[in-house]
Amino acid sequence: MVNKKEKDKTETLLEDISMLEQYIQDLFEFTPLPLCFINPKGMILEANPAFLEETGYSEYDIIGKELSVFIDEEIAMKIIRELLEKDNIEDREVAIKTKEGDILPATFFAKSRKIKDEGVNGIFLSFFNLTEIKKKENEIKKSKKELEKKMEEMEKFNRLTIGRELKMTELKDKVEKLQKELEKYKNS
Amino acid sequence: MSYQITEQDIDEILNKPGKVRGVVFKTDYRFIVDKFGEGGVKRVEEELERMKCSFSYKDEIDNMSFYPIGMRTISLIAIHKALGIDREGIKEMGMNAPKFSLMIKFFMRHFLSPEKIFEKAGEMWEKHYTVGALKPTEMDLEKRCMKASIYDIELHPILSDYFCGYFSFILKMGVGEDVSVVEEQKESEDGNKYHEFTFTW
Repeated sequence: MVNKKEKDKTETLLEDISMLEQYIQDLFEFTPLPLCFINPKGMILEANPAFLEETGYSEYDIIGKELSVFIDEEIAMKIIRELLEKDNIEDREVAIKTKEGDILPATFFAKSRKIKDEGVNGIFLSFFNLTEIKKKENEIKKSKKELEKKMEEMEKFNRLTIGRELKMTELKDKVEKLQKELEKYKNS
Repeated sequence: MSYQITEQDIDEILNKPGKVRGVVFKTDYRFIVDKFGEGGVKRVEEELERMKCSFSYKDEIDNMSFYPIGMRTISLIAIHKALGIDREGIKEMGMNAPKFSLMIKFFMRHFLSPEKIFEKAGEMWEKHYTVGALKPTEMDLEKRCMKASIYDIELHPILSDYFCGYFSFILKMGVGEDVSVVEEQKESEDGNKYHEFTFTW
């Protein structure tokens, strides 16, 4: 009787864990942010669909491979070393290598996962692709430069036209003054 | 190398006692789709029909449900025959399987060191199979070597090759390096046969 009760309890717990695991998996797959989980040796254990889409890798290509597959080796080592000592890295720029060999400018966030009594057991790493933002930033920089050039030309033009205006006024004053003197001379 | 199997063998394999979780067939399915597309699945399912063991990977299999253990071997044989995958390909298939197994992903998230893998390997076997037992027997981290044996179950050579790839990938995750595996059939002092896997890295 006790055994059956214990067995039922275990079954229920296993079912709960299985549901929880499914929930985590669904969330991991749903999130539109590229996300992967790395072991302390720097090997990629999991990558979500958004990650695979952004980098062009398939799970075959990337699971079990080192972090240096998509981040420069030296930087990858630095990230791992850093996260073995501190909890997280926030908003740091990095270049992401895609399967096609393209380089994506990105900002990444990483957090170490710790297990009681065992220390760091893995690292969550997520990145935000800055390609579009950088593109817009460059467009804005270009537009700003063009605008500045235009403003410089305008100022030059302005200086020229205002100078001409002032000279005209000066001449007009001079003519008026001379006319008055001439009138005075005629009358005398 | 081709794995030999006769109609009589198929009957024997299918009548073996024991069950296996559906998740193993789902990982087979993922492998076929990724490498050969849905057309590959169709070819394998046609081969299963010829072997008088038809089932649909996508529609009839549930991850957590149990199925006759013989289907595990039959599925691999059908994949080998229909898609022309050789021994190395079967090992590669085994290496890729943990990448898609939810149960293994769960395991790997928590037990990452070689010591933990050594400790928990038997439990993982029990979660997948109702017969047989996987027992790690030796571990020498200095010599970079580990041994584990599968008892109380007769493995078809295709399944042994598949396990070589499968176990080597899991251990690779723990040690951080490529792992070589050799499988040998041995006999204990009391005359029981078992399969010993030696891992080196």
